[in-house]
Amino acid sequence: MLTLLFSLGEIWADFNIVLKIFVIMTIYSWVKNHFGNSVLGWVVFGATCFFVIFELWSIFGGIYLFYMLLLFGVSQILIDFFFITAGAPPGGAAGQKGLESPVSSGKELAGRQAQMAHAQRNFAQSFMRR
Amino acid sequence: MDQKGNVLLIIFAAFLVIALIPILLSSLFWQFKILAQIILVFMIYSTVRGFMGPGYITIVISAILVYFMVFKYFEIVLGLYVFQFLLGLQFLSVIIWGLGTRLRGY
Repeated sequence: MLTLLFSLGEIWADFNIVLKIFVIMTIYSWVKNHFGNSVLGWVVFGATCFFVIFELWSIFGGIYLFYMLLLFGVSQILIDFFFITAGAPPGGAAGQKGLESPVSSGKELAGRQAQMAHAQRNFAQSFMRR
Repeated sequence: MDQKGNVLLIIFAAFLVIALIPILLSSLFWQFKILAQIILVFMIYSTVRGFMGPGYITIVISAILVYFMVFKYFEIVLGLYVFQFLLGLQFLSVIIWGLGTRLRGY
Protein backbone atom coordinates (compact mmCIF):
# COMPACT_ATOMS: atom_id res chain seq x y z
CA MET A 1 0.00 0.00 0.00
CA LEU A 2 2.82 2.34 0.98
CA THR A 3 4.69 1.46 -2.22
CA LEU A 4 1.60 2.25 -4.27
CA LEU A 5 1.23 5.61 -2.54
CA PHE A 6 4.91 6.40 -3.17
CA SER A 7 4.54 5.42 -6.81
CA LEU A 8 1.42 7.58 -7.15
CA GLY A 9 3.33 10.47 -5.59
CA GLU A 10 6.16 9.95 -8.05
CA ILE A 11 3.76 9.89 -11.01
CA TRP A 12 2.11 13.07 -9.70
CA ALA A 13 5.47 14.84 -9.33
CA ASP A 14 6.68 13.74 -12.77
CA PHE A 15 3.51 14.83 -14.52
CA ASN A 16 3.77 18.15 -12.68
CA ILE A 17 7.24 18.61 -14.19
CA VAL A 18 5.93 17.73 -17.67
CA LEU A 19 3.03 20.15 -17.27
CA LYS A 20 5.38 22.89 -16.07
CA ILE A 21 7.59 22.40 -19.14
CA PHE A 22 4.52 22.76 -21.38
CA VAL A 23 3.46 25.91 -19.51
CA ILE A 24 6.95 27.42 -19.85
CA MET A 25 6.90 26.66 -23.59
CA THR A 26 3.46 28.27 -23.93
CA ILE A 27 4.64 31.41 -22.10
CA TYR A 28 7.82 31.54 -24.19
CA SER A 29 5.87 31.20 -27.44
CA TRP A 30 3.36 33.88 -26.36
CA VAL A 31 6.08 36.33 -25.28
CA LYS A 32 8.12 35.74 -28.44
CA ASN A 33 5.04 36.36 -30.61
CA HIS A 34 4.24 39.62 -28.82
CA PHE A 35 7.64 41.08 -27.88
CA GLY A 36 10.07 39.36 -30.22
CA ASN A 37 13.59 38.62 -28.99
CA SER A 38 13.95 41.90 -27.06
CA VAL A 39 15.09 42.51 -23.47
CA LEU A 40 11.59 43.51 -22.48
CA GLY A 41 10.37 40.18 -23.79
CA TRP A 42 12.81 38.28 -21.56
CA VAL A 43 11.77 40.40 -18.55
CA VAL A 44 8.09 39.66 -19.19
CA PHE A 45 8.92 35.97 -19.72
CA GLY A 46 10.84 35.82 -16.44
CA ALA A 47 8.15 37.63 -14.45
CA THR A 48 5.33 35.53 -15.91
CA CYS A 49 7.25 32.31 -15.29
CA PHE A 50 7.96 33.36 -11.70
CA PHE A 51 4.30 34.02 -10.94
CA VAL A 52 2.83 31.12 -12.90
CA ILE A 53 5.34 28.36 -12.16
CA PHE A 54 6.63 29.21 -8.68
CA GLU A 55 4.15 31.51 -6.92
CA LEU A 56 0.68 30.35 -8.01
CA TRP A 57 1.28 26.99 -9.65
CA SER A 58 -1.64 25.34 -7.83
CA ILE A 59 -4.02 27.75 -9.57
CA PHE A 60 -2.37 28.11 -12.96
CA GLY A 61 -1.61 24.39 -13.30
CA GLY A 62 -5.30 23.60 -13.03
CA ILE A 63 -6.21 26.47 -15.34
CA TYR A 64 -3.70 25.30 -17.97
CA LEU A 65 -4.99 21.73 -17.75
CA PHE A 66 -8.57 22.98 -18.17
CA TYR A 67 -7.47 25.15 -21.11
CA MET A 68 -5.78 22.17 -22.77
CA LEU A 69 -8.86 20.00 -22.28
CA LEU A 70 -11.05 22.68 -23.87
CA LEU A 71 -8.54 23.03 -26.70
CA PHE A 72 -8.73 19.30 -27.40
CA GLY A 73 -12.51 19.52 -27.62
CA VAL A 74 -13.65 17.93 -24.36
CA SER A 75 -16.54 20.40 -24.29
CA GLN A 76 -17.88 18.56 -27.35
CA ILE A 77 -18.14 15.41 -25.22
CA LEU A 78 -20.10 17.31 -22.58
CA ILE A 79 -22.46 18.65 -25.26
CA ASP A 80 -22.94 15.14 -26.61
CA PHE A 81 -23.56 13.77 -23.11
CA PHE A 82 -26.09 16.28 -21.95
CA PHE A 83 -27.83 17.46 -25.14
CA ILE A 84 -27.61 14.87 -27.88
CA THR A 85 -27.80 11.74 -25.70
CA ALA A 86 -30.44 13.35 -23.51
CA GLY A 87 -32.85 13.72 -26.46
CA ALA A 88 -36.51 12.78 -26.23
CA PRO A 89 -37.13 9.08 -25.56
CA PRO A 90 -38.58 7.04 -28.43
CA GLY A 91 -42.28 7.81 -28.68
CA GLY A 92 -42.08 9.89 -25.52
CA ALA A 93 -43.80 13.19 -26.18
CA ALA A 94 -47.25 13.32 -27.73
CA GLY A 95 -46.97 12.65 -31.44
CA GLN A 96 -43.21 13.11 -31.44
CA LYS A 97 -40.79 10.35 -32.18
CA GLY A 98 -37.37 10.30 -30.54
CA LEU A 99 -34.04 9.60 -32.23
CA GLU A 100 -33.83 6.11 -33.62
CA SER A 101 -30.99 3.85 -32.64
CA PRO A 102 -28.36 3.19 -35.34
CA VAL A 103 -28.94 0.15 -37.54
CA SER A 104 -26.70 -2.67 -36.37
CA SER A 105 -27.75 -5.65 -38.51
CA GLY A 106 -29.49 -6.60 -41.74
CA LYS A 107 -32.29 -8.17 -39.72
CA GLU A 108 -32.92 -4.91 -37.92
CA LEU A 109 -32.89 -3.00 -41.21
CA ALA A 110 -35.41 -5.47 -42.71
CA GLY A 111 -37.60 -5.04 -39.62
CA ARG A 112 -37.52 -1.28 -39.96
CA GLN A 113 -38.36 -1.47 -43.67
CA ALA A 114 -41.29 -3.78 -42.93
CA GLN A 115 -42.48 -1.37 -40.23
CA MET A 116 -42.27 1.56 -42.65
CA ALA A 117 -44.11 -0.40 -45.37
CA HIS A 118 -46.83 -1.27 -42.84
CA ALA A 119 -47.16 2.38 -41.81
CA GLN A 120 -47.40 3.48 -45.44
CA ARG A 121 -50.04 0.81 -46.15
CA ASN A 122 -52.08 1.97 -43.15
CA PHE A 123 -51.80 5.56 -44.30
CA ALA A 124 -52.93 4.64 -47.84
CA GLN A 125 -55.90 2.64 -46.53
CA SER A 126 -57.02 5.44 -44.24
CA PHE A 127 -56.66 7.87 -47.15
CA MET A 128 -58.82 5.68 -49.43
CA ARG A 129 -61.57 5.40 -46.79
CA ARG A 130 -62.11 9.14 -46.89
CA MET B 1 -29.79 4.09 -10.16
CA ASP B 2 -30.80 6.97 -12.38
CA GLN B 3 -31.33 5.72 -15.93
CA LYS B 4 -29.41 8.50 -17.68
CA GLY B 5 -26.54 8.08 -15.22
CA ASN B 6 -26.39 4.41 -16.15
CA VAL B 7 -25.88 5.27 -19.81
CA LEU B 8 -23.17 7.77 -18.87
CA LEU B 9 -21.33 5.09 -16.89
CA ILE B 10 -21.47 2.75 -19.89
CA ILE B 11 -20.13 5.52 -22.14
CA PHE B 12 -17.28 6.16 -19.66
CA ALA B 13 -16.54 2.44 -19.63
CA ALA B 14 -16.42 2.47 -23.45
CA PHE B 15 -13.90 5.34 -23.34
CA LEU B 16 -11.80 3.39 -20.84
CA VAL B 17 -11.82 0.32 -23.08
CA ILE B 18 -10.78 2.45 -26.07
CA ALA B 19 -7.87 3.90 -24.09
CA LEU B 20 -6.85 0.43 -22.87
CA ILE B 21 -6.80 -1.25 -26.32
CA PRO B 22 -3.51 0.36 -27.52
CA ILE B 23 -1.89 -0.33 -24.13
CA LEU B 24 -2.88 -3.99 -24.42
CA LEU B 25 -1.63 -4.14 -28.01
CA SER B 26 1.70 -2.57 -27.03
CA SER B 27 2.21 -5.11 -24.27
CA LEU B 28 1.33 -8.01 -26.57
CA PHE B 29 3.28 -7.00 -29.69
CA TRP B 30 6.70 -5.35 -29.30
CA GLN B 31 6.50 -4.06 -32.89
CA PHE B 32 3.41 -2.05 -31.99
CA LYS B 33 5.22 -0.61 -28.97
CA ILE B 34 8.22 0.49 -31.07
CA LEU B 35 5.91 2.03 -33.67
CA ALA B 36 3.90 3.88 -31.01
CA GLN B 37 7.11 5.14 -29.39
CA ILE B 38 8.39 6.48 -32.72
CA ILE B 39 5.06 8.23 -33.35
CA LEU B 40 5.13 9.74 -29.83
CA VAL B 41 8.73 10.96 -30.27
CA PHE B 42 7.84 12.69 -33.53
CA MET B 43 4.70 14.15 -31.99
CA ILE B 44 6.63 15.53 -29.00
CA TYR B 45 9.43 16.96 -31.15
CA SER B 46 7.02 18.67 -33.57
CA THR B 47 5.01 20.09 -30.64
CA VAL B 48 8.13 21.51 -28.94
CA ARG B 49 9.43 22.84 -32.27
CA GLY B 50 6.09 24.57 -32.80
CA PHE B 51 6.44 26.32 -29.44
CA MET B 52 10.17 27.06 -29.36
CA GLY B 53 11.31 27.04 -32.99
CA PRO B 54 14.37 25.12 -34.19
CA GLY B 55 17.47 25.06 -31.99
CA TYR B 56 19.37 23.26 -29.25
CA ILE B 57 16.86 24.15 -26.56
CA THR B 58 14.14 22.37 -28.58
CA ILE B 59 16.20 19.19 -28.62
CA VAL B 60 16.94 19.42 -24.87
CA ILE B 61 13.29 19.98 -23.93
CA SER B 62 12.19 17.25 -26.36
CA ALA B 63 14.67 14.85 -24.76
CA ILE B 64 13.31 15.57 -21.27
CA LEU B 65 9.73 15.12 -22.42
CA VAL B 66 10.61 11.97 -24.39
CA TYR B 67 12.18 10.44 -21.28
CA PHE B 68 9.06 11.03 -19.20
CA MET B 69 6.37 10.50 -21.83
CA VAL B 70 7.82 7.80 -24.08
CA PHE B 71 9.96 5.70 -21.73
CA LYS B 72 8.91 6.23 -18.11
CA TYR B 73 5.13 6.57 -18.48
CA PHE B 74 4.63 5.11 -21.94
CA GLU B 75 1.38 3.27 -21.16
CA ILE B 76 -0.36 6.26 -19.59
CA VAL B 77 0.72 8.67 -22.31
CA LEU B 78 -0.20 6.25 -25.10
CA GLY B 79 -3.71 5.85 -23.71
CA LEU B 80 -4.08 9.62 -23.39
CA TYR B 81 -2.65 10.19 -26.88
CA VAL B 82 -5.06 7.75 -28.52
CA PHE B 83 -7.90 9.32 -26.56
CA GLN B 84 -6.87 12.80 -27.74
CA PHE B 85 -6.43 11.53 -31.32
CA LEU B 86 -9.95 10.10 -31.39
CA LEU B 87 -11.26 13.28 -29.76
CA GLY B 88 -9.67 15.33 -32.56
CA LEU B 89 -11.37 13.18 -35.17
CA GLN B 90 -14.73 13.59 -33.37
CA PHE B 91 -14.90 9.80 -33.10
CA LEU B 92 -15.98 9.88 -29.45
CA SER B 93 -19.13 11.76 -30.48
CA VAL B 94 -20.07 8.79 -32.64
CA ILE B 95 -19.62 6.43 -29.69
CA ILE B 96 -21.69 8.65 -27.41
CA TRP B 97 -24.42 8.93 -30.03
CA GLY B 98 -24.42 5.20 -30.76
CA LEU B 99 -24.44 4.06 -27.14
CA GLY B 100 -26.80 6.82 -26.07
CA THR B 101 -29.46 6.02 -28.64
CA ARG B 102 -29.14 2.26 -28.16
CA LEU B 103 -29.28 2.29 -24.37
CA ARG B 104 -31.88 5.01 -23.91
CA GLY B 105 -34.56 2.50 -22.91
CA TYR B 106 -32.46 1.07 -20.05
